[in-house]
Amino acid sequence: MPHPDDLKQRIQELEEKVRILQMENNQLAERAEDTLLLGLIAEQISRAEEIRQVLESGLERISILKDIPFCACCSLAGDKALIVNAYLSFTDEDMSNPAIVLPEAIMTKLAAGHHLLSRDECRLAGISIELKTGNFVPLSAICIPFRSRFTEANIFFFADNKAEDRLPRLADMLHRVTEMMASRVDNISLFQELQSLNRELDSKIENRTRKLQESENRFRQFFENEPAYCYMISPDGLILNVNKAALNVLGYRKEELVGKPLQTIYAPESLPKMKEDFEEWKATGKLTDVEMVILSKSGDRRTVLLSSDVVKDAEGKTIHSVSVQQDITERKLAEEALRESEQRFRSFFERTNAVMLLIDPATGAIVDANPSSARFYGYSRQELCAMTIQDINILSPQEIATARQQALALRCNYFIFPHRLADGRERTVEVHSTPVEVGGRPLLFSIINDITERKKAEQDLKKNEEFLNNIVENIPNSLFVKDAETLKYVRFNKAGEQLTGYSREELLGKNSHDFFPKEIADYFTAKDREVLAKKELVDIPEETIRTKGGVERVLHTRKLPILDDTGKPQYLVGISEDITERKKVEESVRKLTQAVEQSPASIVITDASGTIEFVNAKFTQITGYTYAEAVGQNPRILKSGETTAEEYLRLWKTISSGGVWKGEFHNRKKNGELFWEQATIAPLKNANHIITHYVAVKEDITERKKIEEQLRQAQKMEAIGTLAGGIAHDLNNILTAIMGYGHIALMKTAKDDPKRLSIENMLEAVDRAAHLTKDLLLFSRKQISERKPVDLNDIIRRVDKFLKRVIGEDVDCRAVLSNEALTILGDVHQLDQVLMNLATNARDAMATGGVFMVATERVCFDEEFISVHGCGKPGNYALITISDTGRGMEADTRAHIFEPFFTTKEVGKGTGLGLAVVYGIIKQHEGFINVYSEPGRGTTFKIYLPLIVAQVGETASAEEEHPPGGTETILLAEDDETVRNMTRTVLEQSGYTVITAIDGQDAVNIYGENKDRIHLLLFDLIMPRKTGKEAYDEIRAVTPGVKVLFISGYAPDMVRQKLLLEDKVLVVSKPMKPTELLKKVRETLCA
Amino acid sequence: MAYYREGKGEPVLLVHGITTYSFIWRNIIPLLSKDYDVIAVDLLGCGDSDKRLDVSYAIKDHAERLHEFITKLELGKFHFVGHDLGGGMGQIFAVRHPEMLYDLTMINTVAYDFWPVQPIIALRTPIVRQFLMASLDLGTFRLIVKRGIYHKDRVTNELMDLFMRPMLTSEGRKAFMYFAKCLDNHNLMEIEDDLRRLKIRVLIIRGDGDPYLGATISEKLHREIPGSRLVRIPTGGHFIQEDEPERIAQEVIGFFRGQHAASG
Repeated sequence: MPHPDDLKQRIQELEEKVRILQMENNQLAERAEDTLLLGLIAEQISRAEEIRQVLESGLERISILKDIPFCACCSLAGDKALIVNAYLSFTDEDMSNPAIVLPEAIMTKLAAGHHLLSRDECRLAGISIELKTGNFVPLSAICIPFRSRFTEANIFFFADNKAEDRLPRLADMLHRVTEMMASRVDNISLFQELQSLNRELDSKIENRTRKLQESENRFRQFFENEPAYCYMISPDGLILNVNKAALNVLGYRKEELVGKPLQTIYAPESLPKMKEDFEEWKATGKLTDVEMVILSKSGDRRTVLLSSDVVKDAEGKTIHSVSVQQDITERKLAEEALRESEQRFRSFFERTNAVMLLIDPATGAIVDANPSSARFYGYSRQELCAMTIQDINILSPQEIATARQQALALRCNYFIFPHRLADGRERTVEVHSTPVEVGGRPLLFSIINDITERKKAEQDLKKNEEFLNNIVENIPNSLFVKDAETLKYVRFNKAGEQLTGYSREELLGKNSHDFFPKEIADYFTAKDREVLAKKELVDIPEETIRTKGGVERVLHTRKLPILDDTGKPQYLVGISEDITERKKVEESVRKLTQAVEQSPASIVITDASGTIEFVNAKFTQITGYTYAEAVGQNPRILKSGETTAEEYLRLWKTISSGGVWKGEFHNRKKNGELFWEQATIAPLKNANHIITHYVAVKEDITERKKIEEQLRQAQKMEAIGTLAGGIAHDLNNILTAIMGYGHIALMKTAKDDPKRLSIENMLEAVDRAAHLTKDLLLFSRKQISERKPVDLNDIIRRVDKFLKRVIGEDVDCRAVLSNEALTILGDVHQLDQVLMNLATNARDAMATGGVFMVATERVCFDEEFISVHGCGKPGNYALITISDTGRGMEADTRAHIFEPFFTTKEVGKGTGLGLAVVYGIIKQHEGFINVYSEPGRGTTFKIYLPLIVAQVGETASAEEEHPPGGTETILLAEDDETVRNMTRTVLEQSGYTVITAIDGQDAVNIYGENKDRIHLLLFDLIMPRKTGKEAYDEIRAVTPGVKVLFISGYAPDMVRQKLLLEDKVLVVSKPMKPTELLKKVRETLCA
Repeated sequence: MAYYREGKGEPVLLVHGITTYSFIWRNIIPLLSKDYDVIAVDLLGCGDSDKRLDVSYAIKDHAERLHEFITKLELGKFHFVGHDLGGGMGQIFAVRHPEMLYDLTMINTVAYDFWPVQPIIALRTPIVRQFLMASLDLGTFRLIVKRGIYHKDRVTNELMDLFMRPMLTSEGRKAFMYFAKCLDNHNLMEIEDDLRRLKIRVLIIRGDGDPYLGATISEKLHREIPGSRLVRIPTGGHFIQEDEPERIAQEVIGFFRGQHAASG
């Protein structure tokens, strides 16, 4: 067992060994790492391209990687180390003082090559680095000098303040790092210097090369582009180079000439001279302006002026010569040509017919004159050559000078002067002067043209132009000229300006579109183009323009093209006449003509002698004469003889003395028909108040005349009616008395009394007379429809007698009535009138006799019948057929017969109302009437009236022998004494008390006195002072409800209508039968 | 101090570690900000924050600065989520100011003395040192980042630029160096006992593909912190935020809400 101490020692030895090993290990590891770090730093440094970068990155890396707080690169200056670059790991501030103060001792040490500062040394030296945040006092430091030619730095300074004294250990590595940096800095610097030198050199070389190149280029360019022929020739006379110009003229390619002897290009005749010159050239090295002839490949000869010079090298040895040939061939030729030209000119000068002078401009002396001039001026050549131009020119020198200046100002190369000939005549001449040099003497070569005639022609032309201009300007029509191409106005006259309102300054150079609305301008342009295309005149009868003032004018325009020599339109000339006013007149004339033509009055215009010049449509329509037939005739053609000769005379007197005649003509149409005209005839006078025409305005008044006639007839009928009515009224009073007394007498006569027959006959005659008055009354009154059931056959039977009387004896009058009763709802009186009217017409149609027939029958209308006849309603009808065998009617007449005032009867024989009334009545009865007629075959009317089923009322009552009487008191008012007495007798005989009054007023008075006892008023309606009605009204005002019965000579319904009587009031008609009177009295009293 | 803030709700503080800055959360923030007021800070010396060298970058000082920052923002209670050194800061914060936290989440965190002991040779620390070396050469840098990410296809040039950005300036490099130098594991060793008494809820997320920090750290934390929850994600590297942002968000939100998402 080893001794513990041994063991311990052993362990200690081992531990020591381990420690040493560990230390060695650590050192090795550290070295390995240092190597790695050096590698990294070296790489970083090597990447840097500037010295500053080398120092910055090197110092930073070493500081970071070896944890050295202060690393700097400085330059030593005296006792200071000026910091060039530094890295301080412990602060982020910039150093305030970039210098480290080093004591002299250290500087000495450094100078001796020592560079590691021990801690003590550091402390003793009191090294301190100033920082803002406080001074950095290193515990140890190491200064490593380095030499670099290219930085001012020469020392690295590393300082540490760690407790461990590391720097000795790191010294080796720091040395290496600093070496690396120094070396890199040197490298960079060298490299940079080298680079800079290189660049300089490059730039110099480049410059020189460029200059050389430029010089070379310039020479080459000059040589190549020189228009003269250039050659480079070797000392032994061979061609080295030849330029483009020479090649061109010689016709060789460059390679054909290079290397060839110079003789190749010279013409044989120049060769001896060439040899001669070559010798001279050899001697002097120069040749100047030697004339030679060169020969092209194709044999062309050119004359050249040769100059030559040599190019020598530095040693004065000839390298080559440069020959330059100036081509003077053209010049030579020109000289030759000039000579020839001069000769030609001289010959021309001598022979020409043109007058030519050579003048000395300085003196005006005539230096030479050709034979023509001698002829023209009348002087011999010798004489002329002794004269000056002033001797010929009439103008003074001043005037000539002025003329020359004017010519110059106008850029005119000739002058116009008056020249005087030898015989004294003056001629206007045009002088063309050209400066020429003759034998070195400046002269004026003048050609003189006699323009006297031309001048005159020009003046004439000018006059002509002025003349035309005057016309154009002063014609009253608008005239314009347009350019055929552009249609722009090139000429415009005064009238045109006035018409359009535009001045010519405004118009010229413009076209239609610049002035007129588009549609108008388009139209104009189209017309213009048409004219230019057709190349002929176009007449535009009417076109409208709008003037500047906006007024529309109507123009009649002619446009014509002006063609140039080739027939191409050059201008368009337009001449417009303003026809606006004329158009207006035409328009008004047109209106007037139309008015006249369409006038509803007939218009005739005659000349002063009365020959018809115009008739209007109405005239031809009325008269039947056509326009052609009427014109040229005298209005006498219408004369019918109905107008008196005196009337015509008066007419002529009036109108021929300038008055207006108005009157009526009864004229005859072409077809012989007469017609009435109302005419106004007036004379027409011209400006001199002489009657040139007559105008007649005539109205056809035939219709009016006819209506007037009808009116007259109607009025006449009315008058007759009134007359007949009046007569009938008076007659009735008489008949009433006869009837009354007759009846009284009859009542007082025994039945077997032989006087009774006489009384009865008398009463029957009175009865007939009474019927006659009734018919008269019927004729004279207007009907009021009073329809009631009646048998149509009864009516016909009743009027039959009357009809026969109307028809007359010549006509066979027949009635064929149906067996059954034909009851209709009818107004007896109206139906009577229908039959009467138709009978009247029939009679008129059968002037020489015939058959008149009335037939009745019952007919039934079914739907089919109605649809065929186009009228009525289905059902039963009474048909009355009334026919005659008269002259019949045309269809045209038939169509109008029911119209009022239509008549075919002679004037005064018909009212034209008859059938109209018939038609109206039938319509009132809800029936209808048809007519069938043909000329010569008579006429048939068929009247249909609807049947009814009612019974016909009893119209005829049995006569009562003794009507009822009474005891009441009656006030009787009757103005006719006979009737009053007869009536009182009848009433008193039946028991009544009668008080009488002689008229209406009397009745009122008497009633006032006796009103308590009077039961009935019996008044005649028509009485003097007061009518029965007026008297009744007055009494009724006092005693309402007073009973009344009227007596009237008129029909009761007529009375009722006229006096507006109430329905309950009864009327008894005159002549009245006593029984009827008594019956009505009783009726009224009992009502 | 620079920070990024987004969303509304309970505040969530996201704290990065060394070698990164707030950008590392960019894929997670949108997922959290729907329901939370998310604040991602750049620690002093990192990202866009000041690069001062006159204050301490030790993690307890970082933790203290975070406290000041939170107080100044008047956040009140919040969720602490720390990655790498940020997890260490979370431990210190939880021990010192537990009343301010709803809970603590640590992702691939440092803890105890499992991380470099000698600040002076901080450069020997895995990743830190290598990062620094790498910052001198992009090729190497790329390799380092790539090692720390599980899904290698996510290492794009854009991502590299984000990592590199602070290192492009001398100032940034200096601050990084200073940060590394300030690291002191005593800061965490001091609180070892306190962690065992921690009352707040703790979530530990471990990416099993992290080549720089070993699994032991997370396992020990889980063991020693009562009631803590450990989630291991096999497809997560050291920069697990790049690998599994959705998963992290899902776990974190579940944890915030007291739910336990399926652990994997």
